[in-house]
Amino acid sequence: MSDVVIRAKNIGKQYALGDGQRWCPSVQTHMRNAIASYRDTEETPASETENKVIWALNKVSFDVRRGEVLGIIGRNGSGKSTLLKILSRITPPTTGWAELVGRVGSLLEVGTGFHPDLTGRDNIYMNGAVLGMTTREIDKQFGAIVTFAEIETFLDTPVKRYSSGMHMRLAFAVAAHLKADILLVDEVLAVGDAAFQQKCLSKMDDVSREGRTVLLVSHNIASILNLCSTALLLDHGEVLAYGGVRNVVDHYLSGSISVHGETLLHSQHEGPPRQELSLEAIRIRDSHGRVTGSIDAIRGCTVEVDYAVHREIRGGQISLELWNGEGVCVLCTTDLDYCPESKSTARLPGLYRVSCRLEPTWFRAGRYWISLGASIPGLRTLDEASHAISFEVVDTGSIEHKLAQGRRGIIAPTIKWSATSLSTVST
Amino acid sequence: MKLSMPHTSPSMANPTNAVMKNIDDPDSIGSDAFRILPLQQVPAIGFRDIWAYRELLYFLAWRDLKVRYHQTILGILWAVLKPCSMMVVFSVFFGWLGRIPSDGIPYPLFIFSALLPWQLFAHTLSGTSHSLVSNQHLITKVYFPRLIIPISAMAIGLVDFGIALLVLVAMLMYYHVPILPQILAIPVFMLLSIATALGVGLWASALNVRHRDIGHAIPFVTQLWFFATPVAYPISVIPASWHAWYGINPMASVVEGFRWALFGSGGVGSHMLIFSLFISSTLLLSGFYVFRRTEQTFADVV
Repeated sequence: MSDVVIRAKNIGKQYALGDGQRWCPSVQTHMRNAIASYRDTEETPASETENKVIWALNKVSFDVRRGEVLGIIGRNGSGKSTLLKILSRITPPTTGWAELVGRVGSLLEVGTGFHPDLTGRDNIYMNGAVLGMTTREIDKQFGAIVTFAEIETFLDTPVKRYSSGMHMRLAFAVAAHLKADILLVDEVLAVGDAAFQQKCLSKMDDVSREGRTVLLVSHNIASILNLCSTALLLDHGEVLAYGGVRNVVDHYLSGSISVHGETLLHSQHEGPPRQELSLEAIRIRDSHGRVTGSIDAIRGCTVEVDYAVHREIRGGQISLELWNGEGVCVLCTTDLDYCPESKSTARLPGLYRVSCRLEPTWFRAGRYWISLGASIPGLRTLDEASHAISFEVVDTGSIEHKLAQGRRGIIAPTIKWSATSLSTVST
Repeated sequence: MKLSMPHTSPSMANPTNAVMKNIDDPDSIGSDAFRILPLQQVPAIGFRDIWAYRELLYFLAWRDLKVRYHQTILGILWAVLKPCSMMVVFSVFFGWLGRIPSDGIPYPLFIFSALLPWQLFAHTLSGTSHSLVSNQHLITKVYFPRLIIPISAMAIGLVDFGIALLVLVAMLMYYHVPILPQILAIPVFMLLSIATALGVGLWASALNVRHRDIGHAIPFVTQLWFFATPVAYPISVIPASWHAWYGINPMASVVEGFRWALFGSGGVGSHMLIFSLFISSTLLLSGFYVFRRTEQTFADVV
């Protein structure tokens, strides 16, 4: 007998675009069509535009061996969740087939089947039954689930009175105690506070160490690298890369999927053309000098700004604000910071490029924006471009990530500590 | 003993061609693998699958019951109050003001004995027909035999029926109604009532997934059906030669059957009963068939 426990062969899934009423145009649609044909217009009947289909998945094949943890990555809409839905038997594939050996547990979300009016205790049983656990299994794990969720005192309170954190902890606790040979997990780590996320991550790690086969869909590249041995990269429903997790993640980050990372600004100008200075372009380059929209947090990046001076100016500066996804301005820097005396230097007409390096280990993972401005400080604004570019910082092994701690703070620098012994006690 | 999920072991797996096929396929990873295939026609009801998921069935029914009278002061008393208040309303308007004949039975008893099976039918129908849409969060996130949802939705009607039955027993004793031997036929008429409701409910729930029109139409259809059923009036107001055709409405047989079993009045002719049994079983079997034919697309269209 082979060791392969999941085999997908040429799986394809087709969805109809439009309102999904391909087989049943509503009365309104019929009436629109009738009126259109009565008027004898050239308009396309509404039903024809609704007949378009897309392939959410196309010719997806892979094997998963017993005990393997396969990460599935890709941008939004690349078909990751559809793939898990097919393997969970929630929706059938349009083409191809898949085989699974052993008991399958699917966690497409946590807390499926929770009812707000039921108590925590009742919901543990309800949710467990929905996930395919037997009453006997839940009985056996009940204590462990309650302890993991830290809700002992609220066990007999309806779940609707729970805080969202408690609700989520309870939901994940049940899911974490699901016994299955194959676990299909979709993005469930994306919820909750950092400390609880780490707890879940280490629980997931236990799961994989117990030799269970796991398919994990996640946007969190750090957790994919942490947990998975192999990975599958999906793009528009097709397999773009499949193999060792490091290679696939590199492929994902290398920008071969999307070449954002550059914004041409002159086209966005509104109002009168800039008389003195105009910002032309902004680019993000990774440590190899490639223009990209995804940055590896341990390697840092360089921001490059092109601007044109139309008339000689004195005392001008180019400034840059870095905003994080929560709308917090992380830092602000200008090209005059390093040599304030250059304030007096004149900028002569011409095209210029300035660049600055954003050091590695500053950033937490997530999405960032850069706003640009050009001004003569204290006098006037020359040009500005708010949220000119966005890029993603992917944590592939910062100190914080390696230590698997949930730390607070908007930046995550690695800071040098020193230690001195003040007194020693000899025994 | 562990109860494994059905798609794990071949013995419990979906008993269709799904498992058979992969034996000859060199690509297959083993004869014990469960194979997921594109949409296929699955006419079997799949009782084995439902049996394997009986605990989930139980929990869904238990949840519905537990939540039903949650946060009410009267609680389970509502199951008594609702048919009783209906009985009072009907007794006043039809019995007292309308002078509708009641075959010599005291009107409150006459109406209550019919309301009982009618409400069993109406609750089962409305519960099952809305069940898939109201459980769509489950359908789109977990696999289980979809039939479990409408089947579990029948619990409420049954429990309410059981409670109202106690009221009926009290009323029978109050009016000193003698117990007749044909009272043993009551479960048969109960079954006929449930089967009809489930048959229509399966059709309605499966269609409601795609066309929400069904959900809007069901309360209206139920109301019409109510007046087409001899609940508030005796079947004797209709010419006897039509009675057999009246059996096309299985609920007419159920309601008259209940009165016959309790009071020995009226009664269901054999033609009428055969009609009803035929209609009811056709509805039920076709309901199962339509449901199974469309269930795989539920998650995509709901």
